[in-house]
Amino acid sequence: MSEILLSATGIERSFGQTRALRGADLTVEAGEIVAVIGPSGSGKSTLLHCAAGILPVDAGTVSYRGDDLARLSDRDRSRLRLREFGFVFQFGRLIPELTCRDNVAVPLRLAGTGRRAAQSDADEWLGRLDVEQIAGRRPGEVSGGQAQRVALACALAHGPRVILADEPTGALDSLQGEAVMRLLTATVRHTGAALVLVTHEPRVAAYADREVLVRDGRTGETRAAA
Amino acid sequence: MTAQAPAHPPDASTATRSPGWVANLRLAAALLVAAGRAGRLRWLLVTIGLALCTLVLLLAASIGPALDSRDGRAAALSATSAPLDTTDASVDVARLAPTWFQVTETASVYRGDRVQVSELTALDPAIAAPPPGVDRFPRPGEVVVSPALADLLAGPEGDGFRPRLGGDTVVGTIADDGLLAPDELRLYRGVAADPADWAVYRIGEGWGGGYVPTTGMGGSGVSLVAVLLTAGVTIVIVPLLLFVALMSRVGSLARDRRDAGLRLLGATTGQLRVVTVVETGTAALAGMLVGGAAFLLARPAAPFVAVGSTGFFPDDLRPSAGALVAIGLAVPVLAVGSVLAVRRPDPIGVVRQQSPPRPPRRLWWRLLIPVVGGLLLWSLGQAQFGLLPALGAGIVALLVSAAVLLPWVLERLARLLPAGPPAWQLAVGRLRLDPGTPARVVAGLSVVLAGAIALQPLLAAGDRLDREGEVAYQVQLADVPTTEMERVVDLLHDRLGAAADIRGGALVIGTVVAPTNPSAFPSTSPPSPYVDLRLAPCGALGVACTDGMVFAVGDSGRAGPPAGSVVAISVPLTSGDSRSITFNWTVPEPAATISLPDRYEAALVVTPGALGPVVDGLLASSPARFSVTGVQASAEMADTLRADLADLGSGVDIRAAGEPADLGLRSVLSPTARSGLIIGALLTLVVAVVGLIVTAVEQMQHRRRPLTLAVAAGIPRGLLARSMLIGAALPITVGVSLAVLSAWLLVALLRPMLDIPMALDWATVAVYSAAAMGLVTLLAGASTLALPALTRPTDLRTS
Repeated sequence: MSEILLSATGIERSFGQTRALRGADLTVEAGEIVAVIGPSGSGKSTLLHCAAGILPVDAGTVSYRGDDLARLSDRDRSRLRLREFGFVFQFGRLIPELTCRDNVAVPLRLAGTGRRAAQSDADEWLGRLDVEQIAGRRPGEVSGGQAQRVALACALAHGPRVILADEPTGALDSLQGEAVMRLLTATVRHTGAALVLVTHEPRVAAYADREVLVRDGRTGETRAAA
Repeated sequence: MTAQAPAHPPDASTATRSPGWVANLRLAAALLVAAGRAGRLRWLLVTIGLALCTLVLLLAASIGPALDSRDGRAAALSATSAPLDTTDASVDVARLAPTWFQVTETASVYRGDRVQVSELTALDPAIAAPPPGVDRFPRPGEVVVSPALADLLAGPEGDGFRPRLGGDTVVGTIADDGLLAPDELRLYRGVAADPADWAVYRIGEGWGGGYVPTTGMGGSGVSLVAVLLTAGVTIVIVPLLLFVALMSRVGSLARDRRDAGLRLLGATTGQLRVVTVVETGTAALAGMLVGGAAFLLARPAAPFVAVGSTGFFPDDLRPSAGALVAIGLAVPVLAVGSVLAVRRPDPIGVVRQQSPPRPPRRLWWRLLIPVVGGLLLWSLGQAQFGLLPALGAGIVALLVSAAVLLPWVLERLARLLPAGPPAWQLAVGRLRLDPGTPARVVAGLSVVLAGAIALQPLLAAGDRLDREGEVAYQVQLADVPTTEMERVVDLLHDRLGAAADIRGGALVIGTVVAPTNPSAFPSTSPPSPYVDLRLAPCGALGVACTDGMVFAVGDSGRAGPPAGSVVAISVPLTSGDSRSITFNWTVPEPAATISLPDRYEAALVVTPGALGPVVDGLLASSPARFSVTGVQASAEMADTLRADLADLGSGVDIRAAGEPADLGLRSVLSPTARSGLIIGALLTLVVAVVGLIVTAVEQMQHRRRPLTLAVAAGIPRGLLARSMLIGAALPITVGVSLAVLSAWLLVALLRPMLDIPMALDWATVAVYSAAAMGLVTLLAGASTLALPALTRPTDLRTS
């Protein structure tokens, strides 16, 4: 059995009167691809955000490699996300004022890599994802598919152990979505990182090793992906 | 079953006919009413911003009428000259009407505040017309004071002033209609004087004969006052108009998204224009109503808002009808116009995040504005003719050049800036992506700063004393015998110490009647027989000297008559007296050649003893002026000197540096005009600060999602905060630099037009610049405090 990287147990989270999670569980082992599926509004994204330490939980425990995230300060959780996690959001998480290259390079620099080395690494990752030609452009000047590839590069360049992708193909057409998923899963397999994938599309969930169903804020059956 | 065509296909004409303007108005009104919380907040912010602009515009528009009211009261306070021939050397007592009186006006200073003293003497105080605001004509030994002076005398602060009353009794206070301002220090003193000794030009028969000064509109030559007022009003108004445009664009991003959505639903651009006009127009109207109400509520506070010794009565603040109409039109037109100018209701804008790169900004038209403005002012300076609209246009062009050039400079600078740490990179990246937004934010402040920097030397123009360096005191002796000059200078040395450097003297004009070498003198072309002599005691020359010596002036524009020349000197008996004594004087050999550090040119410097006893007790051609450097100015020492020289009467005027300049020396703008401009500039600064805050908050709202995503991904908030500070510091640094440059250019171009010493005080420039940069940095720092609230992870939710 591989190392359990992320473990979320009995998670409860509310937003005002809305109970988004009512005792959800999620475990992620190193190297596996887990799809969190469910209908819109079921709490999938909230579960992802809680598991990543972005959102504090109202009840339950979230731990990363055995460390309870609730015991970490906001600054430490931030550092954890920067070094250990990689994020891919539906609409990209690129900073509009930075070039695509700098978007990939800045997290590397924050992790301690020098400027030139960070830019070199950024160029390398952009090349792997076939978007090296837009390295000098800003996110607002490239297509959605290209921006999502750049976001992938951001998520992968610093070698995270866990990649958390929230509807990574939601804003893409089917062809682009397929391409992004192939790249994502191939890279994850290559690096040995874990991938937690939130999606409501069965064809995207098909890339996963395991599916966790979320309905009405609760996690249901976990089954092997089809 | 097949689909059936509809029995009545849609009428093509109704399907494509545009709704009428009434329907469009109804749509606009419905959207306004049904606007959600965000829409209502946006409307409210625009309203508040425009209300503030309206308030300040009304106050600025009140400055002119307030000055006019004050000048009108000043004219009413001047005596109407009696119908006498002022060229008469003496008074024919038999011709004096019993109601006539003599008034001697003196402006003095007490602890830095101006005091107006009027000495009155009447043939029959019982029937002489009292001054405005006074119940009856004061008799000898009686004093009527202003309420502010009465309060001063009642307290311990008046201890130093009471001796000036010389034991006279305060018998009443002056009513408001007899005052220039609520806080004015003024007194009327009844004195005894033999009518035979009255000065003809001081005899009055009533009041209200004063000359109402104009602002120099029209005519040849540009009057200094006209330039200063034009510059000052422009400096206040232009940034206000910029901020009207800025305030009306609050929430423009959200408004564009709404409009784009409406376009997707089928609304035409015309309908959206109506929606914009209704939304912004109603906000402008509401803002004007609120601003007008605030103005009416603020007016009664006018007596409590005084700058220096200048204040206004509430009724003084009354904008003219023309100004009200102009403001009533300008605010909504500018507000609506600026919003219509920038809205881009592109239906694709709702869903598309991408946008093509913007072409580089062009420099040529941005440079055209300051170049044209500069050429205009330069040509006015060369031609010395007065076209105030052209002057105003030139000043406006130079003031706004900082705002016009700012986006281009920022864009170019952003490209040139080197790479750096992540926070720097974020800030520079933001600047490269969108230099226009920070430029708009800083532009208004740059114009205000340029105006304030340019205004400072203009306000001080003419207030500068005549010598280089720090002049601590200036002393003027008018109607004072020449024999007293030495006593005054000795007193100054005695009181101020050995460090005091005292220079000056009186002007005596002579006519060369027998030059020994006509070809050598005078050195003017064509040759002029007149020669200026400076009459000064040894103590005011700064060289080794004994009374009786004569000195040549080394750097004078005119050579003095050579030794042996005979000069006819005419000295009046009293000031304004046509009687004089003329005597011939033979120029002795000069003891040495000296230079004069002040502006008063003279061909020769003559000590009183050199002219002989004939001039003892007589007056010089013009008042004697002495300036003192090398010591620190002190209002208390100035009062001591005034007390020491009180026996010389009202002909002595002593002013310490920093005290009001309007004492008949070289005053330019009245304190009221000066204060009005300063108040206007301060109010404009308040509007600028509010505009900055509103824009900063709006920008942060616009960047909320990418900032939240960045924080979610682990980018520290501290890094984002540092990038915000850097992102604020860069544009304001450029803005300040451009403001200083445009102000310097403006002052340099106005100087030849006004022909007065005028220069930027770089210490003041540094203070103003640091204040502007500090303000923007402070606001940016305050904005970073909102980062945690704006980047809450709960905002990542899409449902």
